[in-house]
Amino acid sequence: MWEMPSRTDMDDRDQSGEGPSNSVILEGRNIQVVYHSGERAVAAVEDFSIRIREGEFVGLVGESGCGKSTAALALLGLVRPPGKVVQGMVLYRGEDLLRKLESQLRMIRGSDIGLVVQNPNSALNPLLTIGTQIANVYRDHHPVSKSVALKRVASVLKGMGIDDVRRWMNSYPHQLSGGMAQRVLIAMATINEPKLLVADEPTTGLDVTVQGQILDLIQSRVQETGSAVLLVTHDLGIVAHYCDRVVVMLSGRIIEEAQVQVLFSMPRHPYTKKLVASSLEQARATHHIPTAGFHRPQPP
Amino acid sequence: MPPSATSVSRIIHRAWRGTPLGLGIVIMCSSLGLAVFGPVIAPYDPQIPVSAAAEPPPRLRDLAPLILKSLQGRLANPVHWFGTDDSGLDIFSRVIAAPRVDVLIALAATGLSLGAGTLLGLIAGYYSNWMTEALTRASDVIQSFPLFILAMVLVALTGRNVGNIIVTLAVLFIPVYLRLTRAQVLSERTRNYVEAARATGNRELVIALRHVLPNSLAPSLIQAPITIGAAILQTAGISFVGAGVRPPTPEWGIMIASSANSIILGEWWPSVFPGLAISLTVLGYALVGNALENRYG
Amino acid sequence: MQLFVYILRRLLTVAVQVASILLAIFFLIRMLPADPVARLVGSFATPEIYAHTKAALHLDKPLLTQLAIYLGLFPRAVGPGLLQGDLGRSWVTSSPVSQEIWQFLPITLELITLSFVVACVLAIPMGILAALKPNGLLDRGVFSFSLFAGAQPDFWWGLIFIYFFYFVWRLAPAPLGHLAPLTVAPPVVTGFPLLDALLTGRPDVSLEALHHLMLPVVTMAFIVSGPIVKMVRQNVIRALQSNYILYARACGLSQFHIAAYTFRNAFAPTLTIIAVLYGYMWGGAVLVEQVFSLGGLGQYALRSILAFDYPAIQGVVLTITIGSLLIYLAMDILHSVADPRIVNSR
Repeated sequence: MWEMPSRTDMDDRDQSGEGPSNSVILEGRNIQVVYHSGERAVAAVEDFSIRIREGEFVGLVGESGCGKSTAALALLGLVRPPGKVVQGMVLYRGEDLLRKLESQLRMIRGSDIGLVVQNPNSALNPLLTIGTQIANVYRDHHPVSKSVALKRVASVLKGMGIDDVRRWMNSYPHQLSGGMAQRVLIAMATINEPKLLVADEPTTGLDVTVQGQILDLIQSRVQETGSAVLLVTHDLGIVAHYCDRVVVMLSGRIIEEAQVQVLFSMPRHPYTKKLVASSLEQARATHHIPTAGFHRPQPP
Repeated sequence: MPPSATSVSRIIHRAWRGTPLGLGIVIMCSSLGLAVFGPVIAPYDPQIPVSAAAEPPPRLRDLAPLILKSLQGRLANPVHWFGTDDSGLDIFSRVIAAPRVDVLIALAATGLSLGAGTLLGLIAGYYSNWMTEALTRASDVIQSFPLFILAMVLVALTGRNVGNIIVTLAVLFIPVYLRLTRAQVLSERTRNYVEAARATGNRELVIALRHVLPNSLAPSLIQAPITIGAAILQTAGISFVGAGVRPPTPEWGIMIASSANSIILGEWWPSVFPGLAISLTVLGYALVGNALENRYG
Repeated sequence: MQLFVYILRRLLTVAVQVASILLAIFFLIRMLPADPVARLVGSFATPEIYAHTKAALHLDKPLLTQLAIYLGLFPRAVGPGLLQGDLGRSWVTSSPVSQEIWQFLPITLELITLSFVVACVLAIPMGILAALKPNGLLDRGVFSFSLFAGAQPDFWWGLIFIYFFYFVWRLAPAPLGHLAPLTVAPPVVTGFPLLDALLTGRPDVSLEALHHLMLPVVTMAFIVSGPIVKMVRQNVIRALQSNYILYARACGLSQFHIAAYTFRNAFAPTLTIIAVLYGYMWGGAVLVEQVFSLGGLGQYALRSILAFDYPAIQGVVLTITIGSLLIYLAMDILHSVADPRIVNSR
C-alpha cells in the first residue's frame, strides 16, 4: 500500500522542464515576526525561509506555540496586531508580498493563494448562506453574475463528493458540523484554483474520524487544481501520510527540513529525533503503521 | 539629559490611560467625603435662609483676593461662593450638603439591589424550575418598563422620604443584577469545580453559596458604579419634578427645580452649580465603572 | 412560516406581559399608603363627603371587585371598562382618560421620535468612524463624549440650553409650550401638531412647532447619543476583529463585501440597544417636557401621579407599556430577519 517513490515519479512531478528554481511559486526569506505586549517584544518567528514549488505538498510541523501558524500567516501578509513582520520578504512571481498594498494583495489572496484555517465555523459569516459566501469568493475574482457563480459553486461542491448540494448551499454556518464547515472552507479556498493552498491546522479540533476525510479531500482537491500545499500541523502522523517534504520548527526557528522519508528514516536534529520517536510510539499504540515512504494517488 | 521622544510619548500614553481612573477615584472619594462631612463643613446652615436673596456668586477677578482673605480669617461673614437663591439660602452650603442625601441614597440603593439581585440571580441560575423561570420573567417585565416613571409612581405613592426612595430604587435595580448574576451562574455551574465540590459530598446550597457565587460576582461588581451614577440621576430627576425628596432638604434635584423659573430671568447660578455637581459626580462614578470594565470585563 | 410562528408567539408574550404589568400596577397603587380620596376632597371635607367620594371611586370595595369594575365585567351595573375599550375617567378632570391620552401622546411621540432620529443621524456615523481606527484620536474623543453624555442630567441641560439659546442669544423661543402661547393650534387631523399644521395648510405653524421643539430635541438627542455611539462603536469593532472578517480578507473579498459583512453583522446587536433606549426615553421625556412645558404624555403622567389620579396612572402605564413592548417586538422581528440563527436553530 505504501510505496517508495521511484526515481521516475519524482521526475514526473518536475514537469516544467526548467531547473528546480523556476518551479518555485512562493519563497519566504528571513522572515521575522515580533509580538508587542505592553512594552515587551517577543520574536514569535525568526529567520524563517521556505521555498514551495509547484504541486509540492509541504508540511510545516512543530509543537503548539512554536510559531508555525504565525509563519504561515506571515506568508499571506495576514499577521495581525499586536504581531508585526519586522523583517524579511515573501516572493511571489518575483514581487515581495509584504511590500504590497492591501488592494494588490486582495487580488492574490483567494485566487492565487488560498487559506484554510482551524475552527472553520468561526471563519464563516453567520448571517449568510454557504452558497452566497462561496459564490462571493468566486465573484470577487471573476466578473460573473451571481447565478453563474452559484452554478460554479454547486459544481465544485459536487466534485468534492457532496450529495445534497442544494441543501448545503442554502444552509447557514451554525447548521453545519465542524467537518462540514471545513469542507466549505476548502471549497472557498480552492474555487479559484490557486497555485498554493495554505492549510493551518485544518483538522485540529475535528473528530478523529473526520480528520482523515478532510485531509483526503484536501489531497484530491489539490490534485484537480494542481495546487501546491503548505500544511501546518503538530501531528507528525499526518505529515508522514500526506506530505512530500517536511519543515520542522522549534521556538520560532526552522531546525530541520527534508524529504519526508529522509526525515523519518534519518532525523538529524535531536528534537526531530524525539518527535519521530514519539510519533512512532503513538502509531504503534494505535496500530497505525507510519509510513517510511508516502502514499500518493498516481496522477492520471 | 533631555527626555527622548519615546519616553515622553510613553508618559503621555500612561497618563492618558491612568488619568480617567484617577479623576474618577478623586471624584468618588470627594462625594463620599462630602456625604459624611458636607453638612458639617458648610459655611451656612443649608436649610435656614439668613442672607440676601438672589445674590450672584463673586466675580472671577474678585475670587483670588477673596480666597486669600477667607483663609486668613479676615472676613466678617463667609463668602457665598455660589451665590444665594431666591429664598436667601447659600447655594454653596446646600450643594456640599446635598451628597448626604443624593450619594447616600445612591449607595444604599445600589448596595441593596446588588445584594438582593445577586442572591436572586444565583437562585434563578442555579436551580432551574418553574419558580425560577417565573422569577426571571418577572424580572424581565420590570426591566422592560421605563424606570423613571415607575420610580415616580412608587415614591409618590409610598410617601416621599429618603427611606422609600432607597427601597424603590433598590427594587427597580434588582433585575439588572439578577440578570447579570444569572447569566454568569448559568455558565459557571457546568464547570469542573462544581462537579468536584459535589463529588466531595457538599450540599447543593453550600456549593452555590461558597463556590459558584464568588465566581459569579464580577460582572455585578463592575456594574455597581454605573448603578450608583444612575441612582443619583434618578433621585435628582424625581426630586426635580416634585415626586421625590421634599424641600427644604438640600438635594441637587430640588435645588434645580426651585430655581428653574428664574433662569429665564438670567439667574443662572442657583441652577447651574447643583447641576454641575450632579454632572461631575455621576461622571466620576462612570469613569471608575469604565476603568473596571476595561480591566476586568 | 417559521417567522410567522415566531411573531405570533411573541405577540402572545406581549399580551401576557401587558396584562401582568397592568395587574401589578393596579394592585400596587391600591396597596400603597397613599390616600387619593384625601387628596381629592381636601383637608376640610366632612367624613360624609369623604365616605361618599370613596364609594364613588370604588375604593371602599374589595380589591378584586375594583379590578372587575375596571375591566368592565359589570357593564350594565357600573359602566364600561377595559374590555369595552374604556379607560375610565380622570379623577382630577373627569374627562375620559383615553381622550386625554390621545390628546397628549402625539406630542411626546413627536419629541421622542425626532430626538431619536437626530441622535442616530449624528451618533451612528460617529461610532462607525471611531471604530475604523480604534484608539485613534477620533475614537478617543468619541468615546470620551459617550461617557460624558451618558452621565448628564437631562433636565439640567435643558435649563442650560434655555439659558444660552433663549436668554443670552435669543435663538430659541421661550419654553412655554409646544407652540407659542398666542398661536392657535391647528385643527386635529392626525393628532400630531407638526403633521396637522402641514395637512391643514398652515406650514408656518408647523415651523413654529419645530422651533419650539428645537431645544427639547437637542437636549434629549444629546443624552441619548452617548449610549448609541458607544454601542455602534463596540459592535463595529467586534465585527471588524472577528474571525470571519479576517478569513474574508484572506479570501481576497472585495472592499465592498468586507464592508457589507461588517455592517450587517454589527447592525443586528445594535437593534437591542435601540429598544432599551426607547424605554429610557419615555422617562427622559417626562423631565424634558416638564422643563419646556411641552404638554405631552410625560407631563400628563407626572400630574396624574402627583394627584393620585389612579385611572389616569393606569391608563398612562398601559399606553407606555404597550408602546414599549411593541417596539421591542419590532426590534426582535428585525433582529430575527437579520440573523438567521434566531429562528432557524435546529
